[in-house]
Amino acid sequence: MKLHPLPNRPPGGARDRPEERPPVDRGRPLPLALCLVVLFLTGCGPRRPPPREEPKQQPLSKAPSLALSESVIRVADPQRRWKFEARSAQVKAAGVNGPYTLSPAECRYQQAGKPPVLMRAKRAEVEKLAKRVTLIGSVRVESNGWLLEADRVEYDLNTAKVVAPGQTKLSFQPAQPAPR
Amino acid sequence: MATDLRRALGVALALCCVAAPALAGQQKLTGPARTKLGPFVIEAKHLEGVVGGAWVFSKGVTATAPSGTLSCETLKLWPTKAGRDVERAEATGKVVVRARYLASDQTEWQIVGTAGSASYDAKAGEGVLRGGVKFDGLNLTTGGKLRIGAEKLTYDLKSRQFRFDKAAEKEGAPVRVEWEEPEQPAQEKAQQ
Repeated sequence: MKLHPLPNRPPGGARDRPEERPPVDRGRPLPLALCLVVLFLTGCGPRRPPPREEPKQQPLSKAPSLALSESVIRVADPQRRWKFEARSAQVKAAGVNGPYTLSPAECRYQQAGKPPVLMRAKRAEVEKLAKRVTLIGSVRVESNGWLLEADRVEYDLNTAKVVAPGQTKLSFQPAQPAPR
Repeated sequence: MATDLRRALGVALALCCVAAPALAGQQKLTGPARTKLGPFVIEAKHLEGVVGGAWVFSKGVTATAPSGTLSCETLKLWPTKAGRDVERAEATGKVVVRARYLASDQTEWQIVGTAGSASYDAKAGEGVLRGGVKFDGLNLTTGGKLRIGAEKLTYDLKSRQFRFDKAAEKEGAPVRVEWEEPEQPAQEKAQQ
C-alpha cells in the first residue's frame, strides 16, 4: 500500500499570511479516499460477530482417511455424566475426530448411577464431536431386563434420547424375585 | 326372563372375577393380586424415548403379554425408577384388548375390549379403558356371549373386580349389558 505524502505547507501559520494560501490540490484526496476504502474492505470495518462454533463432521460418503482394526472408540462427557465405548474389528474414519464407521459394532453406554446400556449392530456410526451414535442393521440394545430390537437406532449420548424410526420391538423380562 | 337376567348377572360377576388378573398380566386366579406387569413384548413402527425415562411407541403398536394383546395407535410407557417394571402406561387411539381367561367355574372365555384410550397405573393398582368402551366376552366352553357397553371400565388389580361407568354427563349413555344364551347342543334338543 502506498502512502501519499502530505502537501508541503509553507512555513508560518495561515493566520500570518492569509492572502498567500496555496491553491488546493484537487488531485490528492482521491488516492486518500481509495486508501480508506481499501482499509475498510480489508478489515477496518465494523466488527462482525464470530461464527457459531458447530461440530463439523465430514460426510461418511467421503473416502476414509483412517482404517483401523480391533479398535475401541471412546467418547466421554466432560462433566462425567456418562461415558461411551464402541469396539469393532474394523473401524474407518474420515479424520481424527471421526465420524467413525464400525462394522460390526459392540457398544457400551454408561450413565452415572444407572445400569449400563449394551448395543450391538451390523454397523455403527459414531460422531464424536456431535456426541451421537447411529446403529444400523440388526440392532440390539439391552439394559436392565429391556431388549430393544430395530433396523436402525439413533442415540444421542448427551441427552440419552433414543429414536428408532423403523420397525421396532421392545421385550421386557421383569426381575425374578430373590429366592427365600 | 328373571332367570335369564339372574344368569346373565351371575356370568358377568364371574367374568369380572376371572378376567381381572388376566388384564394385569396374571395367570393365577388365586392368591394376592399383583400390581406388576409380567413379561411383555411391544412392536411398533416408531419409537422415541430416553434411557431411564418415558418411551413412546407409535404407528401400529401391538403389546403382547402371556395373558393377551393390546393394540393401539400410540403407547407411552413410564418405567419405574429402578427400570425393572412399568410405573404407568397410556394407550391412545383405537385401543383393542384381546385375551383368554379361565373362569372360576373352569370355563374358558375369550375377551375383546375396545375403547378410545386405556391406561395402567401401578401405584393406583388399576387399569382403565375410556371412551366408548365395548366389552365382548365369549364363553368358549358353553358358547354364551356377554356384551357390555360403557363409557369407562376400571379394573382394580387388588380386588380383581371390574367396574363399568357411564359418562359423567347426565346425557351420557347408561351402561348396557347384553347376555346371549348359548345354543342348545343338538343332543340335548333331541332328548327334549
